Formats: sequence, structure tokens, C-alpha cells
Amino acid sequence: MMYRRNRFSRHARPTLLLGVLLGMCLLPSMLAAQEAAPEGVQGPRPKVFLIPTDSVRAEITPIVTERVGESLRERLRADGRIELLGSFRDIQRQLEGGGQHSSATIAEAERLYTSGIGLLTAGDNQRAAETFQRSVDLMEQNIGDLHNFDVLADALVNLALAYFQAGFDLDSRKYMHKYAHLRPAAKFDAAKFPKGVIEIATDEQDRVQKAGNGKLVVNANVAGAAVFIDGVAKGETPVTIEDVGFGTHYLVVRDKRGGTWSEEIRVRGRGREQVMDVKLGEGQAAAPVAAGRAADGELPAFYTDLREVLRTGKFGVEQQPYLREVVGRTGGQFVAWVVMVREGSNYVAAPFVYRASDGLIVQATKIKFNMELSNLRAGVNQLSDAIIIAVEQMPMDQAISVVDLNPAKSEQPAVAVAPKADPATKARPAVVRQPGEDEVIPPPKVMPSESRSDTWTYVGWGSAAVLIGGAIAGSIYLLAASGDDPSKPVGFEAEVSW
Amino acid sequence: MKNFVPQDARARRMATALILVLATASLVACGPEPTAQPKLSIEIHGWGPTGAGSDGFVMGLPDFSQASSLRLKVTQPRDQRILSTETFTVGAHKGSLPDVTFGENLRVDLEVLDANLAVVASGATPIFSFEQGDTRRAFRVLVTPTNRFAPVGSLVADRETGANKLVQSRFDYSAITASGASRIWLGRIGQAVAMTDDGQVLIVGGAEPAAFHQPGTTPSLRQTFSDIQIFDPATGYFTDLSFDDQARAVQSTGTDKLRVARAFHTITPLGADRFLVVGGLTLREGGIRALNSMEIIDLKAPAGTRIQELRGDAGPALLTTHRAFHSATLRSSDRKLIVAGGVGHNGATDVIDSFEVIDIARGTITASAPKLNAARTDHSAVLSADGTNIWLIGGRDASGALASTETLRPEGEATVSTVGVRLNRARFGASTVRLSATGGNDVLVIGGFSDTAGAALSSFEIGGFARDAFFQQADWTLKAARGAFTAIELPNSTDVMVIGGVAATSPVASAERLRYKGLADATPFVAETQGSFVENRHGASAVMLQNGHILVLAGVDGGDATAHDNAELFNALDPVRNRAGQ
Repeated sequence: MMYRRNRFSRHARPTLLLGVLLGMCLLPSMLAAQEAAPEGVQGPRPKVFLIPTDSVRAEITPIVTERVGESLRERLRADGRIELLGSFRDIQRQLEGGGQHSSATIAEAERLYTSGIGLLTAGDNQRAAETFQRSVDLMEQNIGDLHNFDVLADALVNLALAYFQAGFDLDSRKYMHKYAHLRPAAKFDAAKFPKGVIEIATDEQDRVQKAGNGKLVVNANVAGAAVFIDGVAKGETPVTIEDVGFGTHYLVVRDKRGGTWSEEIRVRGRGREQVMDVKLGEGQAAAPVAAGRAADGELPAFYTDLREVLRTGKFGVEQQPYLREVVGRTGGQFVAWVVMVREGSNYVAAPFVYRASDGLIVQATKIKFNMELSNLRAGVNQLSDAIIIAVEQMPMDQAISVVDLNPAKSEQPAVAVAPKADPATKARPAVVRQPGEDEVIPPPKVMPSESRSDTWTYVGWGSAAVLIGGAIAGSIYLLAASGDDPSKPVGFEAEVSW
Repeated sequence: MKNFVPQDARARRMATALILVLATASLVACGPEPTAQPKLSIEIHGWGPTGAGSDGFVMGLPDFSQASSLRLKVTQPRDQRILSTETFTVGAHKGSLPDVTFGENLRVDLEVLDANLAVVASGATPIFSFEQGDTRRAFRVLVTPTNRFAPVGSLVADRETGANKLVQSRFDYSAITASGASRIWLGRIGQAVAMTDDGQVLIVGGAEPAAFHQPGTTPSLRQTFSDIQIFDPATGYFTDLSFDDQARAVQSTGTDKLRVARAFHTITPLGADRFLVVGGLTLREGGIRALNSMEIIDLKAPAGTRIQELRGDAGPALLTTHRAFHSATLRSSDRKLIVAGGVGHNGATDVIDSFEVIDIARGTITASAPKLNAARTDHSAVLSADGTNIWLIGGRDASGALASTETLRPEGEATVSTVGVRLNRARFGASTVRLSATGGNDVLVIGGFSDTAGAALSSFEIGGFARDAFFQQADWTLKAARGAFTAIELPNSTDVMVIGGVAATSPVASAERLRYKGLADATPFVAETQGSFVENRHGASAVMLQNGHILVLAGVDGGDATAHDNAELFNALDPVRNRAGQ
């Protein structure tokens, strides 16, 4: 079923019919095409939300972190292997219709619903399920603004079908039950629905029928507020509703000043009475479902708190609740972030990836930027690759429970960066010293002569020691940087003149 | 002691030797010095305000009054990726992007921006590769105003001063001159064009018209051409394939021209820079004749042997029916060419009701039995997304325009025709575009003529291989009715550009952009007029270049005007957007 309003309504009836048919026929394939994975990419791309880049204790100027962060975002977005989600503010704005009204959210949910139909038709059950799930989530989160519950019901039944065909039987059962509660008399097309799905639905419909109706008493702090069950008007507060069936339903109460209260309710059936006390606040837009939503232009506390913790440089699995919330709000499957620290005259960027499905956090390969950021592009490319590889592989050997990027200065540096090619310094390889090592070059064990001047001998052995150290250091340096030959340029320069 | 060496001196020697050895070792261990960064140099020329109050070619950036900054973008258009971007003030006169990642299928896009960051002019390099180990590449880019036509220019040395200057490019006359031919005018209509693997454009054959050619009628021709011109977008030059540039003469080992001069033929890319030329009209014994011969152009063959007959076991492979104005479609599922309809020896009213299946590898031809459901010419032929079915849409027969369609599909070893859904409006000389936004399953049919007097249509309609009807609304229209034009889908926006055409007996000079709104929209495409030809031309060919500009070449103005031997570019601004939904 389609719920788009368009100008076909202005045309004559046969034309209208043709237009509607065209839209119905073409939209799924069009949307399926739009959502198709890019060439060369197998299956759906993982959705990654990227938290803006920060530095530990703000020891690096925001100009640098923003530049690295934005370049990284651009690079990740350009890479076809992942689907990079927008910024938190953008997502929030999108879902809240620019912070003015959540009707945009409903429109987005409907778009996702039609997209899901296309994917389901195309046989991409996994992506169809993800898309329908997102659509249902958005509608349920904004149930107070939903007027056409047929969309929700249709999304639920198709979500159940997609889950079933994707092999997620339990999820399929859950949503088919919800659908059966909303549409206890619905019939199922055997050509579309597998036998197993129909059985789940009809069994639950039987259960609804056997349980009979419940009795719902809705009281409110505002008299005369309109009460709706599943989008159907049931009177004004206070009201007793006796024709609501067993199972999950959606209760919405709207007062005449625009206040709305909404909640998903569970009706017990068998004539049992349930009392709902509704609190409609002045100017309240949607409560309690959306009560936690931040005001327009503000970021929610959990998000700002998370960023604050990341800025300390010390974080780990304790931040999982925050990260789960980020996932819930953005629809991402992964959350990635980069924290930068200063190391001498360089900046080191440490990337991390959180996987929502199991809460695993991994630390990917760190990347070093020089102070002038002249290696910004190459570094960002490496950073991007490190994050994408982490998303794809989530290697257990890089999993962290807690990390501290900013230990006390006297401690061993936590960010151990392998020596990298640096054209400015590689002509003068530094001697690598271990902590506690004496800076004084020790004299040779066998003294050549007690009676003669030892100056040249010391110079000779001393020089040899220094150079041997240099050679060893150089070798280690080159071994550590193997595969990253500093003599090879990382890219080319595009120069234009006019 | 003879061999006594003071310990002090020995220590000094040892120390010195060690220093030398280890210094060398340390230097070696430190690795090689970094090599200089490879460089891609781009020089900008343009068409636009010259500063003297008129438009013209400019060495450097034209004096666009609104120009505020210049954005440089390194992109991979085929993958819809932007790799690097940077913006410079116009006053800087140069800019660079360091550390651009090596790669294939790269393109540098240049956009001239106004103060509001709107693009007022743009240009781009061809698609190129810059790999590790490459040290230097250079391109010249012609920047032209957006949504306008501009002449194609190329750099030449002034004969008097020796200084470089930009002039409008023309077809290559050097082979004509070298052969001593008396006629040297190469303006034409009825040519066939195709894109080579490296983005050059082949212009094959054509004819110089003797009078205005009304589509749907038999043309009046002065001469037909056998030459093959190649246009190089990187330089703006046209080059005759038969001309040996080093020897400054026509190839000594052969002609590298078509064996039979022809116009209103077809050319079909076969892959690997091979092309098949089929049928067409030629001038013979004072009359215009349809052809049944086929020739293969193989650009990878040695010079002088690049044009070959299509041959089978029994000698030259010839069509069963002589034909021109036909369609030729390579069925990718089995690599067979399907040649359908067209007109025969007896001209415009001799409309053919047959099709032929050509096995190019074997050089065998199978004539259709049964034939088409309707005799048709000036129709459209669209290959399905799976490369199996060919949809013949509209066209005309001897009495008028057709609304019927039919599908040619393989059935075992045979190919059969099935009647398809009807167009809402009978039309021939229409243009069709397979819409990529819906995976290539839907087809946009635009304009065309409703009768042979040249009554042009402005309407468009949408159908699909799996649809049971064509859809059309009263407001699904072009701004200007036209037929016999070219429609090109832009790769990034999926908007459709409509270029030129004819209405009644006059060329249509304008271009229109059909902005794609989505097929669920009540008006899926909204027309917008964008610019007019620098020189009126109908019978021109248009092709999308790798740099995103549309090349429009040859053609003729109305009346008794001389056909054009030049080309122009339309700058349809269609910036690369990152696939991930930037």
C-alpha cells in the first residue's frame, strides 16, 4: 500500500488509476535500485556512525582535530565499503523535522517502509528486515504523530515476513504477533506468505479471539482530551473503552492545545480492567515516548557525556551504555571515533570501533600526523582504512576493555608509535634508548694503554658505538616501517594554473 | 721490531677505518632519499568573456565576471567518488592538491565558482590513471560556461607569429589534401559515431546534403563519405584515421577508410576497440542505394588494415536485405547483432518488415522467419537490462507513424518477435533512454514526429520491459517539440539532456534538461531549457565525453546551408557526487 500524496489526484479517474499503478509498480524497483549496494560490494554495507574527533584533554588545537575529523569523514563517506551515517545533529534534525515537528520522522518512516517493500520484492530479505525495523521503530517512537496506522500494520507484517525469510524466526514471531493484535481479522495471501508465517499469525489471531476484549479506563489531567486506540477515536477523557482486544496496542491522547500523550500498551483481555492515568503537559509535544529527546539545537546529555569521557583518554566497556544509546538514536551498527594525543612535535590519532551486536570495542592501528599536517591526506587515508578494516574484521586481538591514552607523564607512554618515515628527520636517525638507559657512552672494557693518551682510542670506540647504535636503530626503524618505504611518494601532486 | 706499530697509531687507524665503514653502513641503513613527488599539471584554457565584450577562446581562464574562486576536485567518476578537493581564489592563478592518492579512472574536475559558490563554468580532464612510478602527466582543460554550448577549440601555432592560439577545431582535411581530391568540404549529416575504449570519438562516414533533409523522407545527397575521423577530447583535434601523421601522407599500406562510402548506417561497438558498421545509403551510378555490406573497424589492428570486411566461411557476410535507417543492437547475452527494420532500395516508402540475426564471430546471418509484426523504420531499439530482449518502439511504416512496439527475444536457436504494449502517441524519430534510476528496466520515450511532414511532438512517456502500459500525463512535455534529436542520461544526476533536433522544416537550436524527480512523482521529469547551439545544426550527432561534456558534431542548418565540419560542446553541469550519499 502506498501513502504518498501527489498530484495524480488532480487528474481524471482512469489517469489517476494509471498513475497510482505506475507509482506502485515503479517505486519498489526504483527504491531497490537506489538502495542497491555499490558495485563490487557484497551484501549490505555496515552502517557506521562516526563521533567527531577530539584530543585528550584538549591538548591539541580544535583546528587540527576538526581538520583530521572532517577529512576522515569525507574519506569514509567516499569509500564504498561502509555506509557512513550523518552527524548526530543531522540525524536528530532529520528525525525531528528540523526540530519543529516529528511529521518528518513519520515521512521518513514511510519512505523506509516503501524502500523495504522494494527490497523485499527484490529478495533482499536481510536489508528489507533492517529497513522495516527502522521504519517500525521510528513510527513507534513517534506514535503520537502517526495518523495512518495502516502503514504501521503493513510495516509490521512485512517486517515479520522479512525476518522469517531471512531466518530470524523469533523476531518474525514477535512482529507477527503485534500485527495479529492490530489486525485480528486479517487474511493472508498464501502466494506471498509462507505457510509458517501464516500459522504464526492465525494462531495469534485465535488467541486474541479467545482472550476477548479488555476494559481500558483512560483518565487524564485534562478533561475532554481525545483518546485514540491504534488511530481510532474512542471518545474523550475520562473514558472507558471496552472494545479493545487482547495484545499490543497504541494509545494516544491529544488535548485541544496540541498536547499529546502516547504509549504502547498491553491489553490483558478477558474483560479485565486496566486504568491509564495520562498526564498532558502544557505545550507538551509527545510524551512520554519522546520525553528524553533534546530540544532543537541541543545535543542530549548522554552524547555530550560520552564525548567528554572520550576526551579524558580513558574509556572502555564502561561506556557501552552510552554507545548503545548512540546506536539506538542513529541506526548505526558500528560506532567509530578517533582520539588524538600529542607526542613530541607530532600528533597521534588512535581510532576505535564499537560493534553494537556484541558490544565489542577494538582499537585500530594508530596513525601519526606531523605538526604541519602535510601528511594529512595520506594519514587520513590510512586512518580511514584502519577503521574500515576494524569494522570488517573486529579482530579480537585488538579488543580493549579499557584504554588510557593519557597516563601520568612519568609512566611509560601509552601510545607506543612505531618509528615512521619522516623525510625531515630520517637523514639523522636518532639513537633509540630504553627507559633508564645511561646517556654516557661506556668506555671500552679493555683499556689499550694506561701510559699513553687515550683520546683517539676513545673517539674511535665511541664513534663506533654511536654508529653501530645508529645502524641498529636505522635497521629497526626500517624494519618497523617495512612496507612503508619513505623513498616512495604516497601520492601525486595535482597542479593547475590559469 | 720491524713490524712495530705504536699502539696509539694503530688505534687511530682502527678508529678511522671503523668510522668510515660504519658511516657508510649507516647511510645505507638510512635508506634512499625521497624522490620528488610526481606531478599532474593542468593548464586551463576557456571559452567565455574575452574582456573585449564578447565571447571567444581565451588562453587561460576567461574573464567570467562572477568568478570568485576555482575549485579543484580529483574524482573517480565511474565509482562516484571525490578523492580530494580544494578551493582557490581566482586571483591566485594557480593551485595544487598535494598527496593525491595514486589510482585508476581518475579525473580532475575544475569548477569556477561565484561568491555564492554556484558553478558558473567548468571543465575536466579525460579519465586517466596515475600509478606509483609515474612521474609526470599534463593536460589542457577547456573551461566553458555551464548549461551553455561552446565551440570545440584546439591549440595551434599562428603561422605568422608562431605563437600558440586557440581556434575552433574542424574535421581533418589532411588526408583529403594528400589524396589530391578536388572536393575538400567535409561537413556532413548521416554520420555514425561511437566511443573508443580510451574515450575518443569515432565519426564514421556520413554525407554532404544537397538539400534540407526532412526526417522520414529520402535524403538528397551530394556525396557520401568513407573517411573515419577521430576526435580526441584531450586536445580538441580531429584526425583522419587514414592519415599517417609522421609521414604527413595517407597510409601507404592501405586506406583505413570504409570500403564503401555510406551514410545513415549504424555502428555498433563490439568491445576491445572493434566496431561493426552495417548497411546505410551510398551514392552509386547517380542514385542513392541502400547497402547490405558490413565492415569491421578494428583500431588495434596495424595501420592500413584497420578496416575489414565481415566475412564468413563463404566469403563476405552480407545482409539478406539492403537497408538504411535501421536499428542494430548487440544482444549481449549471446553476442549476436540484431538488425531490424529500416528502408530498402526504393527509398522512404520501402519500409522493411524483417530483421536479421548476425553471428559476428562466425560471419553468419540468419534472416527472420517469421518477420516483424510491423514494417518499421526510424524506430528505437532498446536492449533489456539482462541483455536478452530487444524492444522495438514506435517508428513509422510507409503510411505514417506507429504506436506499436514489439520485443525480439531468443527462443532456443531462433529469435522471435512478440507484440508489445502500445505507445500513447504514434511517433517516429523519437529518442529513448533506458533509465538507470530504475535499474535500466524502464524506458523514457521522448518527442519524435507524428507524420512525415515533420509535425513534431513535445510529449514524453514512460514504459518498461515488465510494464503493461506506457504512462503519460498532459504535463509530461518538453519545452519545445522536436524529433530526430539525441537524448543522453547524465550519469550522476540521472537527468536527461535533450540536444537539438528538428520541428517541421527548421532545426531546433535549444537544449533541454529533463530534471529527474523520481518515478513516483506526479511529474517524473521536468523540462528546463538550457542554452542554444552556437551554430544551428540538425542531423548532428551527440555523445557524452569522459570529461562530462556533451560533444555535438556535424549537422546542417536549415535550408540550403552548408553542412558543418566542426563541433561544439555542451556543458551540462553534472558534478560527481560521492556514492555514499554525500
